[in-house]
Amino acid sequence: MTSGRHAVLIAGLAMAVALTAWFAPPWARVGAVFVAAILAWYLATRHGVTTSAAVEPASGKTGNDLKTLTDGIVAATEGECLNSRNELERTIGLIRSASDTLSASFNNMHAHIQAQHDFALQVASKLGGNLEDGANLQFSEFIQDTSKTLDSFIDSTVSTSKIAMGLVESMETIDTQVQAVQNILGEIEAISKQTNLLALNAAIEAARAGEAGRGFAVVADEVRSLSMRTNQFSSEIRHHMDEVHGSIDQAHDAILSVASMDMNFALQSKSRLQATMARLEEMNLEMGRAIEHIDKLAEQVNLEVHSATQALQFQDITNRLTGQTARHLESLRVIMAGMNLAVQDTEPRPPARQKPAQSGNA
Amino acid sequence: MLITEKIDDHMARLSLDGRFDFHSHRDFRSAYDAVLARPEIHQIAIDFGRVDYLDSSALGMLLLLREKAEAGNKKVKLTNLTGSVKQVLEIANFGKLFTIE
Repeated sequence: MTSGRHAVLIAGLAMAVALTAWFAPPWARVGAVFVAAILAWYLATRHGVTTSAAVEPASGKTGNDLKTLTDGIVAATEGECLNSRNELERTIGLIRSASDTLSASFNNMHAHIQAQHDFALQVASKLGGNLEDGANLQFSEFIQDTSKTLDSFIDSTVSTSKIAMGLVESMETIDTQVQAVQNILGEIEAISKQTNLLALNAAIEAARAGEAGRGFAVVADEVRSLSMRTNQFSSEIRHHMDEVHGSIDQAHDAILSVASMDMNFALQSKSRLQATMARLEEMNLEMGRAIEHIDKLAEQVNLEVHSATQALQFQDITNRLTGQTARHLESLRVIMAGMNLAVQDTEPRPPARQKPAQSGNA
Repeated sequence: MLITEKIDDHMARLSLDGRFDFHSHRDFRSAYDAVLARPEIHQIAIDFGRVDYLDSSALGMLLLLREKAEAGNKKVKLTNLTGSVKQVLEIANFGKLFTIE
């Protein structure tokens, strides 16, 4: 009766082991199988002693049951051990490949971040920011050059205007003098007219004097012709002076077009340049801030990649742990094998009694 | 352009009104020639308060005036500069050549 109760107990235990094996995590499975095995082995040895002491037909039956049970337990345990070992190996493989992939992609990430950082620096320095090397200031240099060109253009415009206005003043002076000459010519013409009249009067007086005035008439004629020549020269000079005056007027107009430049072009260009300069400086500042930000981010990512890579070393620990679990499984298997042997040691008698037991059964 | 002249002790003030360009050169010259001819004047102030436009010939005239004034030991200052007139004078760096008020 006691061995029957033991059988029920063992069956219950086997069921518990099976359930644990189905649902529980690997370490619990190993524990459960281990506990069950110890119990079964203990019971089996105890039962073996009782069967050898009391030779009863009933005890032969119990031995057979026990053997079947232990066989079942051993087989189940070995099956579980094998499954667990396989699963462990698969787990190790998965972890290894996953951590390898992760390591590789973290390293790639690190490299990409570094490349991105370098590229950003390069772009920034090419655009001519006030960054460390500052070698490529082409854009702002260009603006400064343009600004200088504009300044020198303004300077030359102003100095051209100054020279032109100086010329205008000189020409005004000449024009005034031309007018003075023309006034003098008027005087000369008046004198010549007067002389002409006087000569005419003299001629008339000479005619009245008759023979005595004949010589005087010749002198009067000469004086008249001189006054007429003076008048002719005077009008020639007037003509030339008019031409000078006309030329001065023309030059005046020509100078107007040189000297008189609208300065708004300079204002507009200057303000555009200043706006561009300001925008450029702003851009440089923004660029600097962005680069700084990228720098910080890259540093942070590097730190995170580093800690992730360190965290990936859990693979070693899991390898060690799974190795231990495998060794535990192996010792469990050895224990089970030992238990089986122990149960079989109680067998030498059962084969002799197997027939009476079977006949007892029948 | 209209020019009004006002004299206080040693300073002559020429107040300009209108467009200061090439066409003003006769008026401007006769105004400053009259002032330059007076030995008791030490300083000439050009008042731009009513000037609404300035071209490069005006700048040239101012430079000529400065040259002549310096030759006669007189100083030229530019006053009441506003708006685009001020900007044009600044762009031409007149701040370095004249006293600006």
